[in-house]
Amino acid sequence: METYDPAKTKNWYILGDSSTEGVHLIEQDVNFNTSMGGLLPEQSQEPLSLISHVLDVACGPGGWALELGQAHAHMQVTGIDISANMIEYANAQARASGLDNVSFKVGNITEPLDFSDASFDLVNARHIEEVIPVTAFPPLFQELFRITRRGGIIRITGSEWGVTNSFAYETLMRQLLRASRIAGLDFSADGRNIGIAPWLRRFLRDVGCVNIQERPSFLDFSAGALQQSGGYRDLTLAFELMQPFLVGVGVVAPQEFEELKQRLSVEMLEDSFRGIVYTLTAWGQKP
Amino acid sequence: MATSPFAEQRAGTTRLFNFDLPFIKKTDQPLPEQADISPIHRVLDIASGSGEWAIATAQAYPHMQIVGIDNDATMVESARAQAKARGVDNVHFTLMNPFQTLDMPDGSFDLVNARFITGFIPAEAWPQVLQEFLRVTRPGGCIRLTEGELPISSNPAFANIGGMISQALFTTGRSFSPEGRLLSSTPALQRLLQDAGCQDTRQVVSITNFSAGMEAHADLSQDFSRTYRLVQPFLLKAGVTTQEEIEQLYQQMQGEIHSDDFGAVGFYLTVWGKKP
Amino acid sequence: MEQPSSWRELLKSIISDPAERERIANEIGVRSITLTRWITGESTPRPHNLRQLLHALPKQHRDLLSSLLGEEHIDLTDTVASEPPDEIDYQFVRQVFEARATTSSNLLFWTLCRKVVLHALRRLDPERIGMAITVVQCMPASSEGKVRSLRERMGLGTPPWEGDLEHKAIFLGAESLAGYAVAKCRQGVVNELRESTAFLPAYQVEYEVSALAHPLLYANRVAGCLLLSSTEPNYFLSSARLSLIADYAQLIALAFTPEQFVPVEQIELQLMPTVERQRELFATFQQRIIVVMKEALNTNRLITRIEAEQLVWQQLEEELIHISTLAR
Repeated sequence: METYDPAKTKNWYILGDSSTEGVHLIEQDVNFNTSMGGLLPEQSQEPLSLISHVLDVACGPGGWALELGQAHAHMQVTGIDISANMIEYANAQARASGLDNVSFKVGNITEPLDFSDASFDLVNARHIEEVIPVTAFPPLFQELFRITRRGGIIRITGSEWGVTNSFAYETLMRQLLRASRIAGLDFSADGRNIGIAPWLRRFLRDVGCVNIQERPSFLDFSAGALQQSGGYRDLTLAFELMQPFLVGVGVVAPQEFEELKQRLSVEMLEDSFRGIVYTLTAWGQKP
Repeated sequence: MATSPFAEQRAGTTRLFNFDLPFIKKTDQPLPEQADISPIHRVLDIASGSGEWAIATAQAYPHMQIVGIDNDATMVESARAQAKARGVDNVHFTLMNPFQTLDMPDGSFDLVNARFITGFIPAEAWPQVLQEFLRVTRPGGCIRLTEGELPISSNPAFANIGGMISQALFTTGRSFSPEGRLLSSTPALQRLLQDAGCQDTRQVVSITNFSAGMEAHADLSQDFSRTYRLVQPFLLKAGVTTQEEIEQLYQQMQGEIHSDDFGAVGFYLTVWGKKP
Repeated sequence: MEQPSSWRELLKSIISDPAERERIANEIGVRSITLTRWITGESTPRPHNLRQLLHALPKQHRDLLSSLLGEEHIDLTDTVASEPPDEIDYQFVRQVFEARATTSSNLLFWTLCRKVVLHALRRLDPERIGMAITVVQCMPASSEGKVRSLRERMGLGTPPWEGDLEHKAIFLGAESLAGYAVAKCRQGVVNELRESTAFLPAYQVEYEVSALAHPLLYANRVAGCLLLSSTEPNYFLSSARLSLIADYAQLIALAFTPEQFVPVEQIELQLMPTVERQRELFATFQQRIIVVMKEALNTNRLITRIEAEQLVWQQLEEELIHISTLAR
């Protein structure tokens, strides 16, 4: 996507769906699988063997779904995403691995989902903040609830992107938050953070889930931290790919953006750089 | 000179956040991330304030001796009274500035605990403050830091006051943020401990969800009502708001906190390391 | 012995004997760590794995395992896992061309290499036995117009190699398999690095048992090579596999611009110092980048990180060649 035009494309995703973003998301999936401690780190072993049908919404290039299908051959994993490019890529990956228990199809999560009631034991959504308008969340959760079978689990993960001491990062972050506000993507009450954290449990509760639990995790990408290089690549690339969105919505001029990007590269490599991304997973059961 | 944001009022070392207290209240585990607490006998609690953490820890672990230090006499008195009223005798409170040279011998403690002290001291003072903590820790003992970021809330007035606090901390040199959006102290802790000389540093993240209907809501909403009132002189002095604006916001916040609509989550990080 | 209450518990007690664990792993054709993962629940065995496991066990364990699996209603009947196709399917090739056409130039190399290497890794090592795939590029020619070394530019791997290999990138010279492939413009394979009877130059790096290097070509010029390492001996034997790898190399070659390919006469590789020696020098890498980029900021020039890195790599190459010359 060269220009940000969600009305036209019905796709609000601010990083676009280029090949670069596909590869970026695969890497991001790996980063977060590590920082979270696994694909389903909070679920204990027993329930996993009872899970056979899994849906991953806004799956992107399918990193999480592919890993899950690889690790658990008894699971039938489906991924949906609005981008035909991403789905094609995901299917190519599945074929390359010979995974016949993983499949992907195009689907728009701001519309009713093309699945029957009670089709899935586990429905997963990771990092769907900044992907669809905030107003689309309640109807989405209703749909997720509908397609989960009784006793099944709905699981949602969101991140509060970046607490850092970098001037460039903070400036870009403020611009991102302003732009998100304009585009209707921002949960934050005051524009200081992504603001999704308090909503996860709430969406699950509002739709009727029970036994709701939460589990935090964090990704430390400070200088010297284990995930520094992973985090560096993820975030510098994310800001790079965000340019059409930020410039298109009008919160930053192209020249200033270039300078900030350059400054970001330097600051994130300095020994004094500190940064953490906080992540929260909430899950609940359909009674 | 270490002065809390609340020094203007007689509220001494009231800390900004107490995200960990609901968990401790529920589980009786003030040190949940420590694998083995049996070798921990002598504990120092930095800026013990009202004494809640120190008393809870003394109660939960009868084999420990907890010393709480604070430089506000009223707080120390009040903490002593609390301990006595609850019949907890393995905790003692002493008047002492926790952020200057400590009137204690080297290696006096197995564990030095400092919770949510961001805001009490300038950002550049952390290294020497940690040095002092390390000095009074015995070799093999531990320094344990717990810090949080601003609560993430779905309600504007509550969020806005938090934002003002963050801004004010920035303008008064107490923040790690490059321009005051957040406190940014949590990512700095591990390296600060390492630079001070600690080894085997570890980090653990927690959250407290104190939205309407949650167990933690009653205690923390009361806590925030209090601290967000006491912090007002500091905000005015730092120039981030006017009397009129803050009063109005505070009223609004009270309404939000007590509504069914209130949503807030606090992330906090516990980082600890060993003195070699 | 207490009756195990689940098949996982039974398996755990069986493989508590390391010799038995190795034997079973070899017979089934999985790594012994995979058996451990089945026990912890980190991954679940495929039905055909379970069938093989039953065959691999002595009778008394086999009957017990069979009944435990039955109790837990675990399905052993399914079709054999479908074999990945022998060729790269055209859908994917189309995606690669599409990416080449639409990706901005500063992201093109990274995007294409990443995309193809990810696909190759999935295709060539779906069971995660252990493989590393690295894209190796010729360093820019010296002032005398000669390419003196190659550099590992980007790489991905499955365990024991960590996902991203960028931080392990080193220079390769005449002493290496990659060097051979580039200098001769020919595929080079060593199927057992542990034996010193290899005819081709190659030295073993950690975990590597067999290796293959395939040159990246355009108009009879070479830009570098695709380097594959496996933890298994004789991994690069079948002609089907070798030809598949050649196809991947062709796709990787699309990531380079025509100017990056040099005539083979310009290749004059030097001997490069050992990995350890190189890593000592690389410790200063970040600092050097920062120095270069800060200088640029101070003189108001825009320099991308990629450009800064190129300059630093060239600095390092110069120093390493110097070290190597002195050592002789």
